Amino acid sequence: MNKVHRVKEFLWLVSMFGLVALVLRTFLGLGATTNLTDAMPWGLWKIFNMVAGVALAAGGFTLAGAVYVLHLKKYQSLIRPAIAVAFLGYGVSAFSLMWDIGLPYRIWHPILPSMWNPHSFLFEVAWCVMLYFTVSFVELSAALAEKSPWRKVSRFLHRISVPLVITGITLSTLHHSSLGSLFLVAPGRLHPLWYTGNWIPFQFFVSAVGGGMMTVVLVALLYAYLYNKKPDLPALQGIAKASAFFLVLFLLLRLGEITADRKWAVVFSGQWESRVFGVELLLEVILPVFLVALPRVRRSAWGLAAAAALAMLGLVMQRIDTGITGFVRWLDTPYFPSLTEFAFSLGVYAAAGLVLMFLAERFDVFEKVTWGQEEKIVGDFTRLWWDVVNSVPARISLLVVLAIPLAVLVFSTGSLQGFPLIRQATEAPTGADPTRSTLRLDGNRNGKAVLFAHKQHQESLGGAASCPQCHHLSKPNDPNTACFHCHSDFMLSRSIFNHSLHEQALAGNKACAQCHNLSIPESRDNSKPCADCHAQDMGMNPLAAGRHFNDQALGYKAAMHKLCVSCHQKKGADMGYPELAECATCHQ
Amino acid sequence: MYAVLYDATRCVGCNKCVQACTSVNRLDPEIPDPTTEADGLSGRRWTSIVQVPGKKRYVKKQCLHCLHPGCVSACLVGAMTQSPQGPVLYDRGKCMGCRYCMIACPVGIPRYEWDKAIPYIQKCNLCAERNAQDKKCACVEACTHGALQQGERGEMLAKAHRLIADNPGQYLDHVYGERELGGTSVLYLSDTPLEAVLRFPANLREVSVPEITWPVINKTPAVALTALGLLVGTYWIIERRIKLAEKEESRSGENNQPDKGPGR
Repeated sequence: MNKVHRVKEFLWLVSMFGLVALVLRTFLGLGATTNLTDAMPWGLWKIFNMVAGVALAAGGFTLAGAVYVLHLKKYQSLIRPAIAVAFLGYGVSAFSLMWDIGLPYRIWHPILPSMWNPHSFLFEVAWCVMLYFTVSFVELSAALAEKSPWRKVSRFLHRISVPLVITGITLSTLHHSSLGSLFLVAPGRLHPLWYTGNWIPFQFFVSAVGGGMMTVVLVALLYAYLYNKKPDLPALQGIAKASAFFLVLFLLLRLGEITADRKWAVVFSGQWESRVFGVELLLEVILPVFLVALPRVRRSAWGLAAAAALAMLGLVMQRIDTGITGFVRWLDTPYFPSLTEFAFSLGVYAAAGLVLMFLAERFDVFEKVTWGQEEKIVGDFTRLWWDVVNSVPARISLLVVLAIPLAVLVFSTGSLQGFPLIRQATEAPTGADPTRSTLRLDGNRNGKAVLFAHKQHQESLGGAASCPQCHHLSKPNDPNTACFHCHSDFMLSRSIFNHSLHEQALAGNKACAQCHNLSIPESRDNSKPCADCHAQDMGMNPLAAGRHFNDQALGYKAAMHKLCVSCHQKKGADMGYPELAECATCHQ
Repeated sequence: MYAVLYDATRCVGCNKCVQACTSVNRLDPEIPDPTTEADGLSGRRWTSIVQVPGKKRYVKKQCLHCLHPGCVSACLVGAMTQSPQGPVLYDRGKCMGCRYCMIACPVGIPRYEWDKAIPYIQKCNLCAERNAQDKKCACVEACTHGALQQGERGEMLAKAHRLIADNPGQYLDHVYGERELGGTSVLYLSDTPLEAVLRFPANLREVSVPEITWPVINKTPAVALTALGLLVGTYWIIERRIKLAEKEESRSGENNQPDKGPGR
């Protein structure tokens, strides 16, 4: 059972990273924890967990159909693992979606009739996924409830299993195809290799059926490997062959679409997308079908596992290509998921793996596993460490305890500091060259500046003596404050008086009376004029003693225009150059 | 049904419309907005002025208020609606934050408040509330250069075509938004091509998004019924044949017991 423990420990570790990511996402928001942008609003969680998670879980309805509708009793042994995988796959999908949407507490909104929108593919997907999740839970409960005192419930559930299965297949037909149709709305942005028009619902449905069956094959083989059981190889081979049939059908649908829509030129265009497309088809169809077609490979558990793993990888890749890779060419800055996104995505899958192992061990999902009594090592004090290392629950708790701070450490560079771009907001709007001959005035920081011939203005206005004409006020102890230090906002006026700084520097709460006349209600007028204290250090244009001044600095744009345009208008008229006052003279 | 007509040849790019929009709609006016995309729109900017690359021409970016909006058809909880007067409105009380409207908008207008823990979609509402009080859009009111006009959509279109006819050579003979995306409530006149700046998708010139999705999604009930019928039919036929075979077997078992080989 050692390998089971190793796997469990690994899954716990990964899911703890996911838990930390979840907590960060909840409290800091999506912008802080993901690399999503307005141009790429859907990322790893939606595509890898929701869209691909549902596709991987398609084996549940396929096998249920094979056994209950087509009466293929040969696959009876795989029905429960398939339904367990389906339930967990939809669980991964729903849980991830809940944290991917901006307002998780509104996940139930599509249920309310007042909010229905039958024009939306996502509405259809939401309803079908909800219903099928319930159906798969009921189907699974039939297996879980076999133990008393629930035997009666189980017997009832077994009796209604055929209608349940038929409902489940109908729902699956709808939402597996609609998950593809979701992307019908993006003809302008999705690369033509993945925007396949009205073919896309068929392609998504057929590939989900093929790939979903392969997931059941791999899970059954992994179970047999981990718990040293004998896999039902003949049944698994049958599933793999059926899956290969659907994968080939998917290939034909793609080739048909490429031919009908005249896209062969795109396939051989040499763009990097066409190479990605090639790898995708190789993984999803060609390699697995080739492996399944070889009898020697097919008959070995390892060969089957390899084919299944490749097909699953290809299916996930196809979904990610449709939902993410296909959009990259349209984006200004390419999207690549953040560490937190990866941690949450994989963490949810790892947690699902743990639940599956729990079900496998405690319930008759695969078959009964009987556990021997864990051997307890009772040691003296010096052997305490070994006790911890040797006991499985202790080892897992230790890993959990270690994983959380480790995850926080790993993520701290990005997510913990909040939305990363905000820190760039304090950059100066002007950039001066060392000689200050020309200034770049870029008030709204959009990279387009007005070039201001500073030296030329200074000289024509009369040298150093003219500075106070424009530099009307400097900050205390700063001989030459630049415009943007006070006029920091492009549009809004900003207070340039730092109240809390003065309060602290003087005497905290006791300092009020030093500046304010406490008998009059609070206003600027009952305050001491700045120049009473700062007459000496207000820079090159000292304030007259006793004069109040407005601490509300104008917005950057208004200040520049007031100062520059009014002078330009006056001088332009005086000198006979009216074009001096035209916007385009400076804003080029 | 009212519309806004923007004349790119008259716009000097002064951003007064942006300023009016941010203050009327109480958006956070901080500049630079850390979430701003290259086109100037963001969770705090419903409109922006961008320069046509390489030209001394500006374009006002904002929600175009399509006559057949993709976002309205895509939103699964109906948070996006179209008012009879034209504006496409967002109901933040319904939104669950799935961001499908951002995928569905053919020109990429809706923005998200990525920096907030409780985020909403942000986009222009064509000042629907102000218009209900017989006021014009804030941006139209703020424009001092006559680049923005507002009126009934039909009148605005007629005005645009009259401007083109009366000033030969000054405009391209095209009103952007007249037919693009199935028609929009924001119309553009220009002397340089604006397709790239407005990001009109090349393969969706005069087709609206619902025109693509509705013919597919309206097959849903038919597909469901077909699947259901096929499944029930298949189940019934196979079940019946198995029962018949069993009956046959038991009858032949009674009659021709000796025919069956010993030990099968």
